[in-house]
Amino acid sequence: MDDLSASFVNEANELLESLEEALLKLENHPDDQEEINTAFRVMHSLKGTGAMFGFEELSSFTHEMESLYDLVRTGKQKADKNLIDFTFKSIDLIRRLLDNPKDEETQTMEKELLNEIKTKFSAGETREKPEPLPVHKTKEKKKGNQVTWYIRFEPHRDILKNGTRPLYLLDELADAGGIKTFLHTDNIPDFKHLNVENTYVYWDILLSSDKDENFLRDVFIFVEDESRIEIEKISEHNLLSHPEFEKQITSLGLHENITPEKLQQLTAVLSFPEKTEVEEPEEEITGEQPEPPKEVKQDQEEVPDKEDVQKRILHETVRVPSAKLDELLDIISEVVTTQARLGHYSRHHEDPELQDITEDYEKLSRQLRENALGMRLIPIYTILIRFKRLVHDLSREMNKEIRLKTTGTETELDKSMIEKLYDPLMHILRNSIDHGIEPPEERKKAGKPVQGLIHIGTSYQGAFVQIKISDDGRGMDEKELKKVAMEKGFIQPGMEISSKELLQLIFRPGFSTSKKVSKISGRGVGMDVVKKNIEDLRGSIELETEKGKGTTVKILLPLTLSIIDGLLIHVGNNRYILPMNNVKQVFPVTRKELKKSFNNVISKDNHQIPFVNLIKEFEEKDTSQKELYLIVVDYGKKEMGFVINSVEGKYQAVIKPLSRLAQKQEIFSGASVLGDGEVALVIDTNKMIDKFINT
Amino acid sequence: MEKEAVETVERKQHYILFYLAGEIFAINVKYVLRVLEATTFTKIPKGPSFLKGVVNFNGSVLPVVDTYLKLGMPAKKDFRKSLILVLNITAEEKNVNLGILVDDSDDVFEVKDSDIKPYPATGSKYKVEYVDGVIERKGNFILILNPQKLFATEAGTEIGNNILLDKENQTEQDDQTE
Repeated sequence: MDDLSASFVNEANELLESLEEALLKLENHPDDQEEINTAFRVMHSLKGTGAMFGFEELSSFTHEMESLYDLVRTGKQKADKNLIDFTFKSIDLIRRLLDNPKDEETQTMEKELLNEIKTKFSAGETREKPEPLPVHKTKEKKKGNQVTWYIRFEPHRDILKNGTRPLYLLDELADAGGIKTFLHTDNIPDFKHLNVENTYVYWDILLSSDKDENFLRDVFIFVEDESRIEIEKISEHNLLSHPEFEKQITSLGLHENITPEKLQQLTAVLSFPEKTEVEEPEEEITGEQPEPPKEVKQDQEEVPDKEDVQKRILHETVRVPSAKLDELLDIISEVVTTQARLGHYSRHHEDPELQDITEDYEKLSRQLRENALGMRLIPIYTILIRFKRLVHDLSREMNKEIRLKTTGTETELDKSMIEKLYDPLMHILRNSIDHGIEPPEERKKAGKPVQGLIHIGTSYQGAFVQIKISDDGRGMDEKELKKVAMEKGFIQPGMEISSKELLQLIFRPGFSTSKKVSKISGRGVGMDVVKKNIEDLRGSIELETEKGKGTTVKILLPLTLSIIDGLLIHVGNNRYILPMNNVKQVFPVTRKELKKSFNNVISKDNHQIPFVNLIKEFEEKDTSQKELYLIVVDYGKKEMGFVINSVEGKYQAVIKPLSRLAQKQEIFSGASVLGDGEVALVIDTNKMIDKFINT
Repeated sequence: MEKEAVETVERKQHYILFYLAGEIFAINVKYVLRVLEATTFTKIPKGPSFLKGVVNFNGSVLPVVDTYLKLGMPAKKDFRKSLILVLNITAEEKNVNLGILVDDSDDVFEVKDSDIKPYPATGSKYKVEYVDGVIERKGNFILILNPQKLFATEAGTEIGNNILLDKENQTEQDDQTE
């Protein structure tokens, strides 16, 4: 697939996501005109661009869907459950058409759905026939409000060399309605200087049409970069069919340039009797106030303003491959390093000017870093949309009524993290739908509302983001959990186990309490994978449950993967970074205490803490007599100490991957370049402990 | 290769000279990105033994190979005057940056391809596939190493190809030359 088609498919998928969202809203508010318009608009865009990129099947199918939604828009078809379900099915089909239009199954599916449109949806026979070329619907639509546009088209001198024929563009405009053009030849040089391959002329165009500005801009889409194009609406009426105007404009055009201002003056004196040219006047006409061109398109499409605002916002964003952002971050961390060097240098040279520059540079580099990190953040909203569909489908499949509520969806996370969150979140949701929420009858008996609720709440918690997935389902029974745990040999009979520990067992491989394996979940694989996925993102996961009330899964994630809050420590002459979120406590410790310790367990604060002496393990010579430190870190639900030489302090570490060569060990998850240009390794505490305890 | 072709093309290439424990080596400059001073390494505890450590190279983390260990030379303790040649080689179809420790490096010179003599497969210290050839310069014999092959395993995911000819190999190659 070439790049263009790929980007179309990308865009199409985004459109489909917004359509799914609209449908889900429509389900609750069947009269929501805004959502209906969204659906219509998506079908319309898919039809148009689909044809442009050669997705003929897709284009013809979406044409049918567009017509169907046109009926909905005009109130001839109800946005009922039938329609919504049907639209969901058609979304699936569209995805397949994007993927592989020639697939046989896809083809039969398309036929079925097309058939369904014809038979099921009432006003079927009043629909117009599909058009051979569905890119722009020119004639199919009822004549809308005819308005008059002023267009100044100054082609670029070299336009002919690009193979563009300006006259064809005018032809295309002429197809859209009544047209009057005024050719300007004043730029043509004298014969000596005339280059026959250049274009010197330009046009003033008056067009009366029911098309909106976007349509007009589309006509010029391939030349707009090089040519000067001005489009302005000068009247809400069809001026060209006004005899007085025509007379005036012809004489005006002969003698001077036509400008929007002059046209305004001209139209101001004209009178428009009601019901002349305008077929369906929608409002009382007073003076002629031309719309400023940048205003949202005056639509006969009746798209609400908000949609347009969204559209405009989209235009102001730029797609950037994430590799480029990674690269930017690399460069910025080098900038930060250089800045630290500069700071170091200027401190040793008493030069006020140099110090000034250093300070400014420091400020800028900090801003730069924050900015670049900010670019990588995207709202969690982007994946939650997909879950709405999942909940809708699954609950229907299981004959349960479930509402998905999302809050805090604007919370932002690093892009790479969001992508990796999809699978674990989906699994948790499936568990809730399958095991958590009860069937309606059971809920009724328990005195709960028939409709179950799953709530995904996202919020900032300091340097972390918390995602909480709670359902109001049946929850888990501790007794049952215990029984299963015992059956599977996770705990021994008679063993005391706290409820927290018990719940952590759920994340162990092979643990499932579901009585029967369903298609969706319950095979006993999953929660352990979920936990691993979350931990790979340097996050943590916890579970709370109450029998009869529901289950809550809490996920805590660091804001970004690439920068962590760390504790900079010394072991021998080398520096290391410990992720701050693992560190619980720091104790001073004497050599005497270490010597006295038995079996590498030390007593601090009345706690027996097992420890690893990193000075010994890293084969450093312990020559200094200075005090040592014990850093206590979380190790699962237990704690564990590291003996080190000293603590330098907190450090914001930009984490770099260790190159492939250095990855042949496991205990360091990365490295960070320190302010003085040296490299400190980032310790993966869990793996480090695993390595030293279990070997 | 045909003789005429060699004579007519007369290709010259640049080589960078470096010293390791009294021996002189050269590497084609096309592999060399930069020469750094070996000020400090960050050692990797429990890391692979041939890996001296990592250093900051343009903000990324560059692994540095203990060349002495790799070439079977006596271990070196004091690296304060050493240099690091930053190489860029292709391993498993990926570009990899890799540093190698050397005692010193003080010259880049041009050599005609025809001046490079083949490295004798027998009676030599190193395996012939890691040495592109020998040149004579100012009375010294300089080995031209092929970093692409020599450090391929370091840059890749496996450890420990050996440049030194062991006895078994030596006899094997003797057989081939007969």
